[in-house]
This record gives sequence, structure tokens and C-alpha cells, in this order.
Amino acid sequence: MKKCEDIRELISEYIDGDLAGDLLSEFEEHISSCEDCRKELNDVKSIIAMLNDTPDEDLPLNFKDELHERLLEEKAKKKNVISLVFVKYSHIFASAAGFLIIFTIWMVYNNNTALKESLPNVNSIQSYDSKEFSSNGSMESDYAGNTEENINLRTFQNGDAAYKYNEAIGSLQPTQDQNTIAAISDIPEAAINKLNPNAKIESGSQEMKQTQDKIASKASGDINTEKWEDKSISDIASNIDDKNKSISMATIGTVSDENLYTSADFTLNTKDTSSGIAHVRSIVLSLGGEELATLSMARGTESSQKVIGEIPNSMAKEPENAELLNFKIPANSYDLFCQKANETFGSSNIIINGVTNSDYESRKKEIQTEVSEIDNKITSNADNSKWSSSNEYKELINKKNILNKELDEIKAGSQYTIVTIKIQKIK
Amino acid sequence: MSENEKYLLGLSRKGDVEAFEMLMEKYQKKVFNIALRLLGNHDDASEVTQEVFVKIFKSMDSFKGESQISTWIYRIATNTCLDELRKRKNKWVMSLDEEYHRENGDYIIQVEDNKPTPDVIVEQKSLKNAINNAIDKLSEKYKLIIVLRDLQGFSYEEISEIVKTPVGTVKSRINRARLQLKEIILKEKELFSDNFVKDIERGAGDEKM
Repeated sequence: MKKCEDIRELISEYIDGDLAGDLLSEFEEHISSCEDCRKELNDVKSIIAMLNDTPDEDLPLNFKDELHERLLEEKAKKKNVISLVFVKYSHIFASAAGFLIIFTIWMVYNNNTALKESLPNVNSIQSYDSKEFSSNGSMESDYAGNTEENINLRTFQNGDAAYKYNEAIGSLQPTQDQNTIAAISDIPEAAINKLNPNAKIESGSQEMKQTQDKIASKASGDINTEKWEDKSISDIASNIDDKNKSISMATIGTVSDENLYTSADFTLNTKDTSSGIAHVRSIVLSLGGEELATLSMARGTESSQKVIGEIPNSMAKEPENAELLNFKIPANSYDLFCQKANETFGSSNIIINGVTNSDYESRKKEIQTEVSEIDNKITSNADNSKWSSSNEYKELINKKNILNKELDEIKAGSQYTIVTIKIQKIK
Repeated sequence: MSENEKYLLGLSRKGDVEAFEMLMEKYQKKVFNIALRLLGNHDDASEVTQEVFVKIFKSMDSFKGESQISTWIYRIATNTCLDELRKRKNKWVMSLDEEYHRENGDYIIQVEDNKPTPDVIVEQKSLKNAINNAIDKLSEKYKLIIVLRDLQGFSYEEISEIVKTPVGTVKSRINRARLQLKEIILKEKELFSDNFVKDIERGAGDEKM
């Protein structure tokens, strides 16, 4: 017979229906005979019932928006870390690539030393082959002689030439040599084809220092470099994965980083998601806009709230399947877009969540002030004959160029509005 | 995990915020409620829940899929909440509830028999306050297990995975936690006797007394 204390150890399991067999019958037997334990069981039971009846509370109203902001911040931080890591270690990547090239050449050269020992053999093959042509008489000696001369010349030159030699002789030993190259490492084709990739990569990374998180926007300039970098730090830079994605990400990255664009954030409630998407697309196209890849968009923290229509009740609960579309439309068509969207969907179904204005005008003023200061400096030193060759002068000119370039960029950006539309299915 | 979730998981790992949000959608409310019960107020719960999902977003790479994603999420959630509780403990050393805290898990049964059961005393509409109050007085370990088992309805096995504790330990801990909770509610009733219900109705029961 179990004591009350032992029985009470089992109360929870009994309530959860976890007791079975002898233990269960012993428990029930005790409970029916012991008033104290029966009381204990009933108390616990009623408390568990109370707990089970406590309904879950809904998420705070602004929870999702706040979280969204924080995730975007986190993502931006992550991106900066990646570019900083790359900038910081770019020289290592570059020298590593350089080393690999040298190593490749050395390996190939070593291979060729082995080949060289079998050269007589090679020659004899050649001669043998040539003999097949021997019906043409004079051709034979010409052909054999040339080959031998070429091979010998190339064999005894330096490493660089050995590389070329490898190319020349490659046709004789194609599998061996090419496998060697492939096995050494995943050297990108660019590095092998362009014999001097160091300079290229170095210049790439310097530019990156200036533009930091615009890594991918450079892709159009040198896609190979970017691919190479991607491969090397694929672990960290997993979000830069293929060329197209990186480019669109860079565009969007610029939106959040420099606030080039005015961006507007809409929600469309529709019963038919796909027709909703089609309608939105056709409106945007008719206004000369273009669609951007669906990646995260910046939502300004200080976005001003402006409601075109009333928020319908169905908005309170966020439907699960929502599609997200991003567009870039000419800034002067934005009002027209709002108007057309209202006409097409009805003002209660298309809701504007917020507008973030680009700070183009204020940045423009800043740049103009800086440029005029530089101009003043340049002209004030014009009497100095050594001025135009001084480092300071060069730096100023350089700075001025960068500022003017930025001005062009943000000016171009200010001509567009980024529109994000979340398409939600309603019943 | 459905194909769609796998796809979203892949995108989330690459830092896609929208995909991550879609993937986390169905866990958010539960995490918030776990935090709410553990921390006891909306503001802290909301803040910690945000923290939990930012943490998850940052460590998507470290989710290797050896456990269910839900288990992984709830583990991060409970750990973050417990950290927060510990932080608080350091901030406010004074506690009126010390007498109930038995970190070693020992529990001495003292039953008062002649009183009506707690659910009779506490009116339905004050239930929430009474429960929150009592849960708040449990030790951290018991609080967690009550929240997971009786408020969120996780199975013993799920809890064992989330808190990384063997099922046997989970079972006995649940039992002790429930008995302790009952004890607290009874004691509360005893201390405030007739005024208990009125106090709660007036909202005074909301605060630690």
C-alpha cells in the first residue's frame, strides 16, 4: 500500500491520463478511500482547468510593424559587416588568389618537368604522326622540326612561359593537366584567363571601400570579380548569391542606405489575389514603371501616415497568405498611380501604410555647399604655381568628382518612387 | 515541415525579411503568450518577443534542422524569457515571494481541508488576475513548466525537447509545479479570506500583495 505522499507524486500523471496498469488501479483505489488525497486531486484538477481555460492574448497591435523595422535594421547591420569584412580582408583574398595562380603555374611547371622527361616519347609520337603525312614529303620535316623547336624553346623559359607551354602542349595531355588545374582549387575562370587578376581585384576592393555596401551594383562593371568574391566568402555573404539577385538587392539597399527614393507602402485587400496582382502590374506598366524583385524594402521609420481609404475590419487580423510586389514608378506618375489604384480597387481596399520621402533636396544643398567650398579653395590658391600638381589639389578635385557623382545619382533616384504593395487575400 | 516552409526557410537564411516573417507568423502569438505569462506584463512580453525573433533571424544559419523548427523557436523564446527574469532578479532583490521559492524543487505538502476549493472562491472574471498572480509567485523553473504545459498545452515530450530535460524529470517537475501553484492559490485565499474576492474585483489583486 502506497503512502499518501507517493500517491500525490502521481496526481499530475493521472490528470494527464498518463497512468496505466497496476499504478492506475492502485491510485484510484487510494483516492476512493483517502479523503485528503481526493481533495488534493480535485484542487489540482480545478486549477489545471482554470489554466487551460485561460485564452491566449493577441499580439500587440503594432507588434509586426516594430518587428519588421528591427529585422530590417538587423539585415542592414549584417550587410555592413559583410562589406567591412570584405574590405578589411580584401588584400588577403587578393594575395590568396595571387598565390593560387603562382601555385598553379608552379604545379603545371612541375608537371611539365615530368613531361619533359617523356619528351622524346612525345617527339616520337609527333614523328610517328608526321610519318602519316609523309606522303607529302617536304611537309614531314617542316612539321616535325617546328614542333620540336617550339617545345624546346618553351620548356626552358621561365614559369610564365611554362604556362603558355602548357597551353601549347595541352592538346597532348589534356586530361592530366586540366585536372590538375581543377584540383588545385576552385580558381574562377576569370583568374585563370586573365593572367593578372591581382590588379583587377585590388582595384575592385578599393572602390568598394568608397562605396562599401554597393558591392553588387558594381557587378555590371566586373561581374567576374564579384562572383569570385562571392565564392570566397560564401559563408558570410550567403545573401549575395547570384548576379541578378545582388543587383536588385543593391538597388534596394541604396534605397534604405541613402534614401534616394521616395517610397510608398500600400496594402491591397482583394478576394482574388492573382487578378489583384495582374491589375497592379498593368497600372504600373501603363505609367511607365517597372517591377523590382521581391526582396525586402525599406520602410522609413518616420513614415507619415496617410490613409486613402478607411481601414476595413478584415485588416485587424492579418491574413496569412500575402504577396509582396515592388515597383519603381516615375515620381511624377505617383499621384496618378494612387488615383488609378483607387478607381480600380475601390478606396476601401487599397490602403497606404506610409510614405518615406527622399531627402534629395537637403542632400543636394549639402553637396552644393561642399562643392562651392572646394571651388573657393581651388581658386584661392590659383596664384601658387605648384598648386595644380600638389596632392591637396588632387584630393580636392577627386572629392569634388565624387560629390558631383553622388548628386547625379540622387537626382536620378529622385525621379522615381518605389512602391511596395502587399496583396492580401480577404474573404 | 511543408515544402512552402522549406522554401521560406531557405530564403530566410539568406536574409529575406519578408520570407522570415511569413515563416514565423504562426509562432508569434504563442511566443508572445509564453513571454506574457512568464514575465507578467504586456510591455515586457512584447519587447522580449521582438528580441526573440530578432535573435532567431540572426541565428537562422545555426538552425540545422536536427530538431523541429517550432521546438527550436520555443527554446530560444523560453531561454530569452528566463534571461530576462534573471536580469530582473538582479535589479530587484527584494521579493515578497521568497517563502514560495524552493530552487531545489522540494515541496512540503500542507493541505487545509475544510476550505472550499479555489475555483469556488475566485469569480470567473477575476480568474485571470488570480492566476497571473499565483504563477508570478512560482519559482522560475516551475513557472516555465506550468506555462508550457497547462497554459500552452505542450506535451511532456515537447517540453522535454524545449527545456532540454529528460521526460521523467519533466513529469515530476510538472507535478510539483502544479501542487505548488495550488498551494499558492490556497494560501492567498487564506491570507485575505473574505476580502480576497473583493480585492481582486477592485483590481488591487493585480499587484503583489
